[in-house]
Amino acid sequence: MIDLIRFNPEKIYFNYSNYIVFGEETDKFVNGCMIIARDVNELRRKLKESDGIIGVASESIKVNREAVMRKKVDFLLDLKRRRIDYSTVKLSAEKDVIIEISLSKFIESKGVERARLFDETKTLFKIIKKFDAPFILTSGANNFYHLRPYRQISDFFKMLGADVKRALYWMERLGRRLFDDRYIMNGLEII
Amino acid sequence: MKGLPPSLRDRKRYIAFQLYSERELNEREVIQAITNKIIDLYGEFGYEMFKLIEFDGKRGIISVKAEGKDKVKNALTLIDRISDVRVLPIVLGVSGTIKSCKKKYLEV
Repeated sequence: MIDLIRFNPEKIYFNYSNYIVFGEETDKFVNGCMIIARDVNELRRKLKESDGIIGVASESIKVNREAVMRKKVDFLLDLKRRRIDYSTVKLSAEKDVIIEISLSKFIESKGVERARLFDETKTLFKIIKKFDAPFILTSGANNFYHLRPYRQISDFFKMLGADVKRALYWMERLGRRLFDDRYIMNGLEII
Repeated sequence: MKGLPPSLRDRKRYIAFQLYSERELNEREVIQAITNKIIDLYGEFGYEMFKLIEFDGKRGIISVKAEGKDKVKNALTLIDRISDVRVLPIVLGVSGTIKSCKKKYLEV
């Protein structure tokens, strides 16, 4: 199991096999490249300069839609104010871009803001289910105290209507894509 | 309610948990934090009564009605501060009896 986090922890906690660290340099775990863009031009410019495992985080629907259509992009990272529309989810299923849904935004927010997040996430899970879009459930932790075991994360998102089995499938596939040298694509591997 | 026949008594579940925190916390602080979080999440109408059966400063057991166990687990998951102390609550597991809960999750 892999977790997507935003800081560089000392070691691996809670039975994860590895972490992908976005936003900080790491030697022990997988380095991810996090692109934060406010508009499409900024996204295009930053994408040209970066390589490796790329995740895009944006509050703009247009940027997220553009990011999904780019071959370089692996993840649509989660933010407190991330906006994703129906067509972006549909495109992510076609282009095989993984949508991250993180727990940390629920921990950080409260009151009406959290209620809005619950509502948006429920709708997102419905659309994801409709198009069978790739998605993973992560802690998205900024610090040690926001880390959680995968089981706790999946139990929480089950309450919001997530298909936990499917999330696990996408997680396993991501693991193979990153760490299995024989894996080429789904249904195709070197024997 | 006391004096209910066995068929009307609520079935219970016991949740074993562990807290990683900057300093040791006491039972009152933990109960208060969980209570506040359940009310934040589910409101007074959806509040689930629970009991902190034991707590040694790090690990403990919560007793709750079987149908309310998810509410308590979700509340625990979303706690990140207790009395201005940063905490990381981990749900170790859920059992049907205190004995098995201790044996499975709290015995080292």
